[in-house]
Amino acid sequence: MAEGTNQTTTIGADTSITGEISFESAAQVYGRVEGKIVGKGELRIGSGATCRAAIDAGRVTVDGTVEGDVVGRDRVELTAKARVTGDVTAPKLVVNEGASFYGHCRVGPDAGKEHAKSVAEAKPAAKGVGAPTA
Amino acid sequence: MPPETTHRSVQCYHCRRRFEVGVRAVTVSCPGCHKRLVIEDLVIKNAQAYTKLQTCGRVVVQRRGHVMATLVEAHAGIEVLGVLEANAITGGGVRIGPKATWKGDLAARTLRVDAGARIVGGRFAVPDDPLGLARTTPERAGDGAS
Repeated sequence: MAEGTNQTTTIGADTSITGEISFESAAQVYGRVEGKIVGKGELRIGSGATCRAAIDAGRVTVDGTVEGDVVGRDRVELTAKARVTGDVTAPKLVVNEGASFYGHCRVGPDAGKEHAKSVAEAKPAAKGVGAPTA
Repeated sequence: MPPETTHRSVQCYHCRRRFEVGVRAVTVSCPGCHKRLVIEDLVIKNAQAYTKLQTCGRVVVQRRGHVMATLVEAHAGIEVLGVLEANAITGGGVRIGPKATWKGDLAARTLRVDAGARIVGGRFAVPDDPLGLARTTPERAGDGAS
């Protein structure tokens, strides 16, 4: 395959991952993930997938089950089969009729920026907490 | 030809009793608690402030509409194309339109959010049956129920 073309990472239906998944362009999850999913591109949580994970990606489409906070830098879409328990933050949210959603919701042009700001503010504080004391 | 529907089921938003009313009814007294109920759909076209905005029908907030309330309760559904600042419960579906702003909590059976909507920090519970509509069976108004 030529270098630079879009590649999609796929987590198959019979796959279970515990830990952090990071991707650049696109990823699809059809199996089980526990931990964290971070990426810049498009993430699809497929039908039948179960994620107990914090999700942070560019465009997130949920067609399966997610337990954890979902952050979409560009957009989050919950299809009619989606089951989400956790907070959703995104500039744009599309919820199709039939989706299940329990959690807090922050949607709008400023939602992603505010989230990024809060994460940036939290990082130095976390360092300070973990820093060794004299 | 199917028989014409003459009655529809509603639930009192004061005492939660379910009963049937004529399809053309606009307001009715609850046979259980005798309080007045709004049955019709409420369409909000401009800025309005309420403590409680309640109806057994739908609440529609149009593009120039702006509802500020502590509680919005619409048993047949809520459609927001303008601004709604309230905690809302409905036994039906909720649609938040593409240029709408929602500020507050929501409990509803179904939710549809169009791209471009703005939602500020509410707690959403979907699907939910906040009115217990699935648990009770309606009775006809005036059937002698106590």
